[in-house]
This record gives sequence, C-alpha cells and structure tokens, in this order.
Amino acid sequence: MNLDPASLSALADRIVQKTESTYADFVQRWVLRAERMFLWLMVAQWLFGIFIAVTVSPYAWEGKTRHVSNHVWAAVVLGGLLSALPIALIILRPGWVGTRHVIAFSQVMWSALLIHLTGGRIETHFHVFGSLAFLAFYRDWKVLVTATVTVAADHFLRGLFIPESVYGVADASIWRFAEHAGWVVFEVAVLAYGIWLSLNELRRIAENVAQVEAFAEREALTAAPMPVTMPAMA
Amino acid sequence: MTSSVMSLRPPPPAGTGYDAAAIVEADGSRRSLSRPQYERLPLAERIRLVLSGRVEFLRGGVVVPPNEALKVTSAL
Repeated sequence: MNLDPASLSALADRIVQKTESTYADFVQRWVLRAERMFLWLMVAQWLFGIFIAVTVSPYAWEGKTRHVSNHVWAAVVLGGLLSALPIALIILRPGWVGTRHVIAFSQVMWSALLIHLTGGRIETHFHVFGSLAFLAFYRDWKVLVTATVTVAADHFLRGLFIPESVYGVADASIWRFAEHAGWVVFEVAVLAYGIWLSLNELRRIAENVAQVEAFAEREALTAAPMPVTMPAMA
Repeated sequence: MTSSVMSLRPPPPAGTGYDAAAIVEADGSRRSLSRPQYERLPLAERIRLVLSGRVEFLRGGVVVPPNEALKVTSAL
C-alpha cells in the first residue's frame, strides 16, 4: 500500500516535528542534569572557600599571623552571594537560559575569589580550567563565552588595580591578563568543538530513530509487517 | 560508493549500520549515495523516502532492512 503524496508529506512532517521535540527534550535533560551538579558544587565551593580563608589566607597574605581576617569575611559573605544566586535560580528557574549564564558567571567568579584568597597563587588559576570543564556539561558553547568574558574582565581589572590579588605580585604587566585569557580561549575552543561533536551525534541518533519510526509506520500500513527494533536513546 | 571526505567519526562496529543508500527516483532510476551523502539530505526528505519505500540501505553491497541499518550504535 502506498500513501498519497499529501498523506505522506503530513506523516513525514509529524515525524520530523516529533524528532525535533525529542532532540530538544534530550538537550534540556542535559541542562537540568548540569544544574543539579552545580547546585552541589556551589555549596561545596562555599564551604571550601571558607576553609581556605581560615587555613591559608592569613598566611598567604600576611605571612606571619593567623587571625580572622577580611578574607574570611570575603569567603563567607562574597562566597555566599556567589553561590546563593545560582542556587536560587537552579531551584526557582531550572532550565532557563539565564540560569546557566548566571551559573557560568558565578562559577568563574568563584575561581577569582579562590585566587584572591590564596594570594594570587598561580596553581589556584587551574580552578578556572576546572570550572570550564564543569560548564561544558551544559553542552552550550554560549555559556563558555560568558565564562571567558568574565575571566578576562576579572583578570584585567584586578591586574590593573590589585595585581597581588590575581598574580601574587605587586607589579604585573597590564597585558598579563591577555596571556591568561588566551589559554582560556584555547580550552574553550577545544570544549566547544567537543560540544559540537556531541550535539551532532545526538541529532544523528534522533534522526535515525525517526527513520526507524517511519519504517515502522510504513510496515504498519502494509499487509506484511516486519518486526522493528526501536533503539533506546537513554 | 564511498565518500572522499575524511571523517572523524569512527566506523560503525562490524555487522551493524550501513555504508551506502540506494534511492529510487521518481522516474525509476537509481541513485547511489554514500552514508555521509545520505545523512546530508534533509531529514524530511529521508523520512519521505523511507515512508514511500524508495530507499534501500546497503552494507558491503548487501541490502539490509532499515531497522537494522539505522540501529543506534553510539555509546552516547
């Protein structure tokens, strides 16, 4: 049995629409999974920031005495604010585009705070690269752009006004931020390529499933249906 | 027919998927496409081809049923 052209087009359009919907659902599922991860990460970072401020910062910044310094308050208050807004959005507006960009901003600002708390220790800068890897779980390159711009702006401004906070030295070249931003751009380019491959793969799977569904529809319309194996996409 | 474009995508596991598609045109002629060429066709067109039974999937020159050829093999 053959479908007339109009029915065939209508059926094809319905399957294509369902495919787009399925693809969007899977992408959104990734987003929600990433947000659940950041919910815990934001809490953990806050606790870690306070721990670093209490145990490391007094030595990192003053070298001799250990007391409750401004860094502890920075970790408690500033860190609390940095985590509170993303956590609130994750709970109140899960899946919203703005939520993931606020998370990207807050996550790399956490890197900035930890760098500050450790007196510009260069090893703490690696937190930025870890943050980008976590943000890549969104599989949305635009989130990485937000993070990159934030890192570059933070390094530029702190390098200009309080270089000791970001580089651990009182006198740093104003262009040093460009070197750091360059490495961030390098990682973001690699992550963005991976995201592109991953999304392409997901789309290919969704399209294969759609064609198998079309085949099943055709078989259902013919006299001799064949068994169809519908692959799982989970 | 194979694509001359180098692909980063690893080949499907042996015994699965397809490597070419043969399309029966409206005038009855057959057109052979490599898998990448077939996958570049708009999805709506591919769906219409499957629904109208005008496409055959081949692996190593042998026709395989669409549900076998299109079986998802990714570990995604």
